[in-house]
Parts: sequence; C-alpha cells; structure tokens
Amino acid sequence: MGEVVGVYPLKDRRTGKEVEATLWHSLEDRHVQDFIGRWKPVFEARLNELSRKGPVTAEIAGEHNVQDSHWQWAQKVEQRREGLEWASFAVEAEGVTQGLMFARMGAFAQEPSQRNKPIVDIDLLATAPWNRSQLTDQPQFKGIGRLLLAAAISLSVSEEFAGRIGLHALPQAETWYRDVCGMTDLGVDRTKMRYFEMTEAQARAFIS
Amino acid sequence: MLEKRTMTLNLSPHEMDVVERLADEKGLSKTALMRQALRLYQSISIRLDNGEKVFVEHPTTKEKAELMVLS
Repeated sequence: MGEVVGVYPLKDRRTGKEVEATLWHSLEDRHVQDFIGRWKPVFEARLNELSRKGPVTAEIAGEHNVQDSHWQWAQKVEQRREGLEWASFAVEAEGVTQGLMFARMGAFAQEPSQRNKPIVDIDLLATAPWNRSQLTDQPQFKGIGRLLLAAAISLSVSEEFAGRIGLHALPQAETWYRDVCGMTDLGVDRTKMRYFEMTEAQARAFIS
Repeated sequence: MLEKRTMTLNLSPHEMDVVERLADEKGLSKTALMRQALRLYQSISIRLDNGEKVFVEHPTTKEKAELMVLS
C-alpha cells in the first residue's frame, strides 16, 4: 500500500504559480489508470499524427519525446508487486498523476570510483505528456523528473547506498541526465542504451 | 519510513566473518547487507519458480555458468 513521502512545490509554467505536488512511495491503481486513461491518449494522438507523415523511427519519436509511450506500467506494477528489490514512486498534482518511476535496489555500480558498491537503479522514469516541451506547445509542470530523481537519491541514502544511483537513458533524455543532472556518462552498453551513474558527490551536488 | 520488525539472527563465526567483510566492502551495515541479500535471493527464487534460468557470465571468455539455488 502506498504512503505519502512528502509534499513539494511545483511550478505551473502556464500560470507562473506554484502548486503542491504529492510524492507517493508505491504506485497505486489510480496512477496506472491515469497512465492508461490520460497519458496514453496523448501519446497515441501524437504517434498517429506522425505516422500519417511516414514511418515513426526511434529518432523521430525522440524528437517528439514519445520514446517511452510503449512502456507497460500496468504489467510492471502487477509483476513487481511482491518483489522486495522494487520500489515505485508517483507524483500527483491537481489530482492527476504527473510522474511515475520504478527503481531497483539490487544493482551494483560500474563507475570506477564506486565499482561494485550497491546502487539504486532507475528502471523507468516518466513525466506526464502535457509536461513535455517537445510534445505540447504549453507544457504545464516543471520539475517532475527532478523530484523523482531526488526520490531515487533519497531511497539510495535510506538504503545506505550513499545517494548512488544508475540508469539507462532513452536517447531523448540523455542530455538531461548528463548536462542537467550531472551524471557520469559510461557509454552505450550491451543493452544498446547509454548508461549513466551518479556518485555520492554528484548526488550531494544535485540535491543541494 | 515503512514499519520495521526486529529479528535475532544466529550465525556461525565463519558466516559472521563473511557478513562483516561484505558489509565493510559494500559500505553497508549488517542489517542493510542482509536486506540486500534477501532481495537478491527472492529475485532469483521468483525467476527459477517461473521456469527461468539464472546465469553468471565470464566477462572475457563469455563462458556461462548456471546459478543454482537450493530450495
């Protein structure tokens, strides 16, 4: 059963005002239903629009920030419900799910200064489509990804992993993780995705 | 923070040495190490229960060895 981690301010870029966002630990059914009923139609509308112009390659999907539209949140929640290694988080604002994340607490670091130390591995992290600048002319909330990344760091600290986290980034998000979050880019690995890690020092810098 | 429960764990001196060495290497308390071990054990057990096989692979020779877990 989910519990509230905290309430945090989020900036609504449409009004310039701050609103309260609630961070939940463990996804609830309503979060999955929001993905199915609110997020997915926006993704599908954009994908349909793109497919009328030609094949939607991974590159085109990245340009329009829809590379994660196929993620199966409902199935993942069902499959991982009993798994001790999984932690999930959701951000709610204005009564709607604004962000979702799955993280795994069983991975080991690869970055040389922390090799083989335990890390929190972010498996999936997504913000609602109406918050994405490449997907809508007037994106709404800013800071969802940052809040979820901070939650992963906080989980890492509480598990005695000293804030260390890692993730494989979709091409559309690589720049954000490297240049904005300050994570170390460890290159494309056997998953064919670029792998990033955050050290203890980088985590401290990110949350300060 | 989620509710916590406490248990007493009886280990042989050798087992305790291993727990202490691993905890030191990973920078974890013994409690955090045992929680990690439980997650890993459960994860492997679920995969085996589902009929999957769990392998470890040598980084250079790519030789694979099946990981066996006694139930």
